[in-house]
Amino acid sequence: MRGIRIIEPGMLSTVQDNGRPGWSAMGVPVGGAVDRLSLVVGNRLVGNADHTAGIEMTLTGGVFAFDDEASAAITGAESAVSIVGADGVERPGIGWSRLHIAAGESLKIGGMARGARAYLCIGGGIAVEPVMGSASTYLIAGFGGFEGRALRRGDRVPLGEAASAGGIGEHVIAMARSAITQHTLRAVDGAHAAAFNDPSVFWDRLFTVSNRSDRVGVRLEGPKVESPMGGRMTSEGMMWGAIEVPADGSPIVLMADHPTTGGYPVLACIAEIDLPALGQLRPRDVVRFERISVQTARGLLRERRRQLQREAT
Amino acid sequence: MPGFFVYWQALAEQIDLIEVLWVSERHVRISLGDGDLLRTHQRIMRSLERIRSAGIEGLVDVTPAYRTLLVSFDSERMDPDRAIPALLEAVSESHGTAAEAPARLVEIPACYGGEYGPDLPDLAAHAKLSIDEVIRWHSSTEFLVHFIGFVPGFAYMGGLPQEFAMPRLDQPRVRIPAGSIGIAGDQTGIYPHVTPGGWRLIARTPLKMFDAGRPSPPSPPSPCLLSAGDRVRFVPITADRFAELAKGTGR
Repeated sequence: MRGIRIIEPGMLSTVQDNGRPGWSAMGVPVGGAVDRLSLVVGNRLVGNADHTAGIEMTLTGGVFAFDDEASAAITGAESAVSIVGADGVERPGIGWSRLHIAAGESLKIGGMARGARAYLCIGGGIAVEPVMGSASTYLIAGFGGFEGRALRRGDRVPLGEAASAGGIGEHVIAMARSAITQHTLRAVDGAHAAAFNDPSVFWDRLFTVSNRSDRVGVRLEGPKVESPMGGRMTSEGMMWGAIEVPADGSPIVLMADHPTTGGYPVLACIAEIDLPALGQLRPRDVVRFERISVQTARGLLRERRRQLQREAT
Repeated sequence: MPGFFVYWQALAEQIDLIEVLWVSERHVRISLGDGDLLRTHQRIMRSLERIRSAGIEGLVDVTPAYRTLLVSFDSERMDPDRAIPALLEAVSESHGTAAEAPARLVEIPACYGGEYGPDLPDLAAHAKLSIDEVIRWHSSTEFLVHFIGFVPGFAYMGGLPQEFAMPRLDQPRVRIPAGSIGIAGDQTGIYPHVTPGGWRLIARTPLKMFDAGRPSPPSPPSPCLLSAGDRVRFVPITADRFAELAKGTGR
């Protein structure tokens, strides 16, 4: 079977696709790529279906050796890309484009300058056995992806057969690159918004992303938001994008691998359109949250879909 | 502003407030009020089934909890104008007093105390009972699984007698072994995976509470050993028996 070998996995590289919605009653979160937009663009560049599994890298990139010829694309966070020939000679590659990698060559992704996660999509996709309907790695329970864990040096990851040539309009790439690097995230009122005494301490104020952030949640430092109900309530269902406020007043934004239920009051929920930008936040980034209505959030999403659909023929 | 619907329904001698509202552009939260917890649980279970079988356009997931259901939609396929009326219909239909199918009773082998349950002595002191008495009480109590949440397979169980209710640890443990049985307030839970946690640990089971590789419903066994609505009884076992059973489950 076609495959790639992991020469250097970087800080955290995992196989991710569109996640596994529908299992929350078993405590299983939706998971998958935290920046779905970059995954979709990467897949279109190499001719895959939109949500084919790719590799999600975190902050430091990685090095991947190709045993077979393949097309590849690096999307997401900005990073230096190069192709190392079988003879060791390195030539520059370009992010957000279709790269041709010959058998025996390696793809090298450097540290990320802007954004937190880069995606490696390969023609044919990462061909791991789906678990509960998805190829996504879910680290907490250790299933999905490649043996239910992060990739390690020496792993050989199988590839599927490439289907078509692929391609994507420049305007879509430009849209995606700007959408994922926004630091103003739009959000709607959350389940317990009405119970908060002073939500104005949250909206449009500046917060810094804590380094204790991961695929489960992004922790924010900044103004303290007074939590209602003493910051504790009877546990209830939680969603990706929920902005919880515990008793200490420091908000936590839930991400793809979030606990399915929780007991902190929810002030707001990131609009779906800005979930990719949420997934690209890196420690020390400064963000602010803009309050929009549910109708506006739906309108923005419709427009995004139109932009993406125009060329999905 | 999110659409807001309030629905009153007289039931028996009590009036319950049902609240169904958008909590994002793609999620609806259903609250069944703060009436009796056991009765609310029955309604959560009936509502869950009705909602799942109602064929609501774009519905992708329902998350039940103690008193609420969170409904997630695929924003591309949902009909925002139809979602709330359809959910209200499903939830109000679930108000009937139809006879319940008898809940499943699941027995969970549990090795109490020692390294398996380091907080058992504290619990005994708190309840002013001997350790043996606590074990006898805990293992003769029938628990109810309210829902599975937090992480895959974590069952939130109610039914612990009030004298055992003890708050969480002030300082959560960094690493709790899989299978650990803990209490927090009047709740009992089993940690299915190695995670941090603040519940007081009194025992451990060798069973695998969650295994993604197990076949999925409707064909049992499911990845999740327990599901919402199950009744649970803990069966005390020795450390030797624990080791024997653990070998069988590959733990």
